Amino acid sequence: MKKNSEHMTDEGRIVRFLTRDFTESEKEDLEIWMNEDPENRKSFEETKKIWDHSANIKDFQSNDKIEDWLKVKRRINFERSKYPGHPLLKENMIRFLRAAAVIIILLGIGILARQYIFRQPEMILVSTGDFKKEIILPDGSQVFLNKYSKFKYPERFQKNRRQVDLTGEGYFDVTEDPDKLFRININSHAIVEVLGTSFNLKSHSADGSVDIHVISGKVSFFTPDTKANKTILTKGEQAFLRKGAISVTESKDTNFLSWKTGILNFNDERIENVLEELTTFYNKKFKLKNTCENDIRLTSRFDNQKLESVLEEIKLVLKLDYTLDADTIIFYFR
Amino acid sequence: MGLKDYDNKIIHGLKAGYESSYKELFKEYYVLLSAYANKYVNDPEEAREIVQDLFVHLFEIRDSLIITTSLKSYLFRSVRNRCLNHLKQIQGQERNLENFKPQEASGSDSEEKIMETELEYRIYKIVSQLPEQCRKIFLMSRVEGKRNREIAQTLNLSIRTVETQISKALKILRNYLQDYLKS
Repeated sequence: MKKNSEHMTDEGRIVRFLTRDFTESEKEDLEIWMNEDPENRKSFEETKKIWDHSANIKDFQSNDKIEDWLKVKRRINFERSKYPGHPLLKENMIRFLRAAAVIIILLGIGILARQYIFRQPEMILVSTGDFKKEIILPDGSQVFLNKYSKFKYPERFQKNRRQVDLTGEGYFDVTEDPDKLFRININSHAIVEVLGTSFNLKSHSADGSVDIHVISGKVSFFTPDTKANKTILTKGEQAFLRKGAISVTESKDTNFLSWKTGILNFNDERIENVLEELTTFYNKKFKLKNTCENDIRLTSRFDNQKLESVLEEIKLVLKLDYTLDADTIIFYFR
Repeated sequence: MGLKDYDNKIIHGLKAGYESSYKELFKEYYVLLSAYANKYVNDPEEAREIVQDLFVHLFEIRDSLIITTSLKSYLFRSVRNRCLNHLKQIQGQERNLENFKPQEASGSDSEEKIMETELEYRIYKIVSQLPEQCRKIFLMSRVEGKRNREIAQTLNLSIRTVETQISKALKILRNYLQDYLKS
């Protein structure tokens, strides 16, 4: 931008004109200045454009109202949108509902607090029916339940113990916690207490018998009558409760976990025992007919096999024939 | 964050019904859109209501909201349509509907109004950041329409100082607005 007047800046010259504070000679002076250089004219025109438009900024001043946001917000009612479907509700109805909701929530919190702080935790009951089921307990312990079993445990354990109930059969892998005894009540006539171990527990409610196989760690096993004289079982041991009495043996049964693993192992096992295992495993009846020999033994391993393939294998190995109807399999000599 | 990312983020929030997104959109565009609407309806109160209606409408249709252009042009276009509808209604009340054809009347006209509004919005923003005395004098001159002499008397300054402050403001504005002054 060029200057041709020593006492006036370009902006000053323009401002005089724009603010109408100019003399006639100053106006002529401006004309001359603009004609001197297109840049000068451009400078004037741009400044005038700004000048003209800047009168409109009062629109923006009057529009710059954050309180208008509140108007919009009131109309939109964001809270209500979380529960869509009733746009017809009147404002005060909503206000009433809001107040009611607050009261209900407070009541709810009160009730929950009572339940959580002053009451025993809720018990969770699992009934497996036709399916096996795996459960992870609040302490991380793992319970694998067999079919037709019932298991009850609290949503959270108490401070000093972990108490659960079992009917049927389950494999337990108990998370170690020396401060919290893990206690299983079996049909309320036998009790197993552990600190952290894995074992299989099987109960028959019909005759009140209980079998326990300890896989690792240490387990104490007792009935309400033998509380004072608890049976301690360690790894590889098994115990049976029959008619109120507990007997301990070394675990020879290799198939106590078959319901869980799907694997049956027989090592020179008497056919009667094999069929008994198969009975439980396949939930079918097995019978043996017309056998003159009374000592037939089987050595085999069935890994998640279908019943038919197991039967065929026995037929081949032991040279037995069988018939198969709906629920019963009968083995007999050819 | 690019303009497009910003748009997408806001649009996502609008569709989801987040209050924060509506508020952000409001902060960003309310003043601008209201001024734009005012260029059509020439009634600041009415203009603001039209824009408020648009915000409520956006929320109501959020599930089916589709914006293919930029968020900004979508908003400007929506405001324009609303303004034209408003004018049509007024004209309808005046039983003068036959000759009114909003679509033909707009076109490049609306572009020009957008440009003007944006320029003025920029001026507004820059002025609000001018030094205290400079801003005060400039606003007295432009918004209150006072003569330099009046300003000088009110603020107990020389006329020359008033002129200097106004030219300072204009110089700053011209500097910052180069992009908007082309054409």
